[in-house]
Amino acid sequence: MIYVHNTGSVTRKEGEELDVKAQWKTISPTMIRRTDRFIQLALLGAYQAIGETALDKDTALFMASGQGNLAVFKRLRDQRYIHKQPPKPVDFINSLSNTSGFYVAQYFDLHGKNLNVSRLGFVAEITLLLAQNDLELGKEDQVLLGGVDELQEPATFTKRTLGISDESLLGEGSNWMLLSREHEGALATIDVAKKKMDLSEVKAYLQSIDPACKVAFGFRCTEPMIREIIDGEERERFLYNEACGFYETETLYALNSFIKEGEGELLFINVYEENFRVIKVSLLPRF
Amino acid sequence: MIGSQDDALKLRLKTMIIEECEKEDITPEELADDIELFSDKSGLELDSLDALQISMGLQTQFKIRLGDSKDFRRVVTTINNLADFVQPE
Repeated sequence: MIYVHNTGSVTRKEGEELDVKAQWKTISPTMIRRTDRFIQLALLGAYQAIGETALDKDTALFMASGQGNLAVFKRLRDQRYIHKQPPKPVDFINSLSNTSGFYVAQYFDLHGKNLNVSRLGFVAEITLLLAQNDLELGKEDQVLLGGVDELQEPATFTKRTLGISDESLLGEGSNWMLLSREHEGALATIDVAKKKMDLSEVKAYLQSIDPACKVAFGFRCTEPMIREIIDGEERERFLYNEACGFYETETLYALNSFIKEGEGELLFINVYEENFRVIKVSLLPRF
Repeated sequence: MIGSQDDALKLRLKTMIIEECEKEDITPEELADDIELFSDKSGLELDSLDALQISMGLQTQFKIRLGDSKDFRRVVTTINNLADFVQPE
């Protein structure tokens, strides 16, 4: 079990406006040059969680992304194959997987482990699990963990690539939390189930926990799938989905929203390729 | 007309440098024609990565390819010098 001390989120869904550059410029006018929107999104979300608080320099930084900095990859592709030019140096640097992690570490003056995890399906769950393992094993005392995904147009193509329905709204976000082994002053605990589950296992898991524990589902969970999992239970659902469209790291938005607005406990269930992963969040008394 | 006499060309070069180096707080008018671009006096605070960006900007916008860093240091000194190289006559 690990403790959540701070949370911060920036999110928007398809059709809404979010001027990330303008917002970041008001916070740090000096750290804007050579950053692109993805990096600025990472910085802005991390700042929402940490603000001006000085973190221990050994704090590890774990950053998750489903798509990574896809916009810069597209620019590089266009430079190379359409304009027949070599890549621009700054674009090339920003295309390296952990450049955004470098900028976040530099802004908060962090010198610890800096890990970047990028994959489709369960990227936030896997990154949280890695942080949980490192904290439980005593490899880290504190982890600043975030998930960043930028909305890519055209939306129809992106939805097909991500494997979500045309009716679903896409979103983007940068959601961060400060995790630690330290109980004092914590907002909540997080427990990431280590194993993937099949449908029957996730149903059994849900039936085994306190009926008062609320439940939330990732965007890839369809309504028939949700009905099958709940299976007649009178369990309250935490509906975070209306505020954010789909992006791979929306799991962290759901958890942060519950920590900010919810009460009691939440079981977050996500699915990818017929496998399920669950995360349990328990809010702690606030003084 | 030699480049250093061509105000329109010099404005294009200054704009390119400011854009490529993301120095949006400086206007082209503030950038003097005869100031050393890579000196403290220019106010641009350019470094080696900026040099690469400018080199790419020259290639994409002016079709000028500078062979190596020696060529770059010879050509990209002042706006006047760069303009004369881009437009020798």
